[in-house]
Amino acid sequence: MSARQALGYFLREALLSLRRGWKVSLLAVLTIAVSLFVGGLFLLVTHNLGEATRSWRSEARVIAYLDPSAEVAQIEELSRSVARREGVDAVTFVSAEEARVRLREAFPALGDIVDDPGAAPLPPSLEISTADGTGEGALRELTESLAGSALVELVDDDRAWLGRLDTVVALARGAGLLLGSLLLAAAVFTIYSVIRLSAYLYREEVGVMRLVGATEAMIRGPFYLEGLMQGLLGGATAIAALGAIWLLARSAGTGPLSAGTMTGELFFGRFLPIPILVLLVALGGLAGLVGAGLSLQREMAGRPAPDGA
Amino acid sequence: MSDRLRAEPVLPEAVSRVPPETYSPAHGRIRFVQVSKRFPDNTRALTGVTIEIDRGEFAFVTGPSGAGKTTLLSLIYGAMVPSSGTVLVNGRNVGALPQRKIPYLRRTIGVVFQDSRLIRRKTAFENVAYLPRILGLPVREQRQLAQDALGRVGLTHRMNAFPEQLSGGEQQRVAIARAVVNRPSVLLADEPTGNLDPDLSREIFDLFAEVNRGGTTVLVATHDHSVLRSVGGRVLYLRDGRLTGDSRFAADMDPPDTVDRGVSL
Repeated sequence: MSARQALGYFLREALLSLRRGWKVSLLAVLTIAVSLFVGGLFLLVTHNLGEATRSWRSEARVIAYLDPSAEVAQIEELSRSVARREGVDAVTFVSAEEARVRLREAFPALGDIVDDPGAAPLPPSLEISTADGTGEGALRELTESLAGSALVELVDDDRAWLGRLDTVVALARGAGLLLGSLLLAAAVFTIYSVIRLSAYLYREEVGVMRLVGATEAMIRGPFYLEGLMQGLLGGATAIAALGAIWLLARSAGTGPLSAGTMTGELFFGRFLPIPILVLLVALGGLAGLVGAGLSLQREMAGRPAPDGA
Repeated sequence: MSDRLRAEPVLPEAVSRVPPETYSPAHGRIRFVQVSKRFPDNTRALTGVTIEIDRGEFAFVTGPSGAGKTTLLSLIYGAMVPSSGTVLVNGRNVGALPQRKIPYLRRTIGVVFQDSRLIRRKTAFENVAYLPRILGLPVREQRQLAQDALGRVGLTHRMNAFPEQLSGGEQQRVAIARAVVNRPSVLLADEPTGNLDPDLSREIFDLFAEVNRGGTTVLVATHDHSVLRSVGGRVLYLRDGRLTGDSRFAADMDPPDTVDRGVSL
């Protein structure tokens, strides 16, 4: 029998089995779908958070707020000194007036307060951009050096809170993968049970197949394909559910997760990339194959025993 | 039925599928050399059995329940391996065959059981066509072989029936069609008429005789005295796992030595 004929045979038998036991097959498909959906949801959220973090990191700066009484010459000297440090890309001086204009542009509603002559003036500052890939050590030295300067009142490093956000994203991703893995193990067990039940129900049939000369590959092939199909269907169902949730969240009008809102973009800005979608479906297929393999190993070992002596 | 059966053609296409090595002088020959079989619980099923059944021979193996008849057949189609001694079928040492080669041995051996063992969810036609199908024969050839085999057992008109829709006799005839569809070198039958009335039993044995006339070696395990008397042939006697007799007799004669050898038929 050629490989093509064998595949055709496996497919017909597997489809027959799926149709015949559609209720248990549905259970297996849904179990896999739920586990991949949960894992996929965590991946979706952490993927978007990770993207946001990367974007913010590329724009991150170290800001040194200066003593308002500092002389221009002193500030220029400090600026030159900082610009010479390792990893520093550019140093921009922002005067108190420029800071006031920026604040008014960013928050027009606060215009009255910003323009109030009695309000405390905003301090001048140095905005320091660092090159991509600058080491943590160099950055720490930079901030420590700035903090030690008599001209600097406060040092604000965006990377500190971005680092904390990275930790939160990694924890969330880890928790999602752990939960998804546990659920996937449960799905493997479900498929194991479903295939084992099939193998048990049709053990006499399997005995007849062996009797007439069917090879183990011919007997087991349809069961493996059945498990694989259940897994792939589960993966596809999970992706469909994730897609539905994503669309629902983004089209929720004024909801906190809707498109355009900060939280909406943060958690559901983009759908999962195609390689991850393929990975989810492949994981489902793998779970199906493993479940089928484990059950067949247990249910179909050895030569058929005759009835008696 | 016998006349109609004799008029059926043999299956040249099927013969062409038999591997060339099976046309050796050993094709269809069964040899047991000092074969013993002991089960894990230390029960002895066979002890020092030596038998030679030639190609094209029709033989019975008989004896009381527990004599070792089923074990003897199981050793031939590789469902068991001997504890000691050698079982040769078609010139191949069955006990030494690796598990992966057992299916290829079985494709040259047809087996019929008392309970027919048909696949319940397949029709009579699908049951018979199963072996040609897993052999990868073209669909047209699969259909032709299955139809011919069903024709030989007179069940062409029932080919679309499922086993549960067939009578016991019909089920057994389908099982025989399945066993002979690939024109095996050896046909084994284990109490094939145990569930059938005498008329149906006679029909089944007529079928075996017809298969045998086509050159297939036939070995039937039975303890049915009337069957032995009506068909005649070679009879191997087993008792407590030992071969206690090996005789030939004509049809409609009482099998010889049954009393002397203490075999209750």
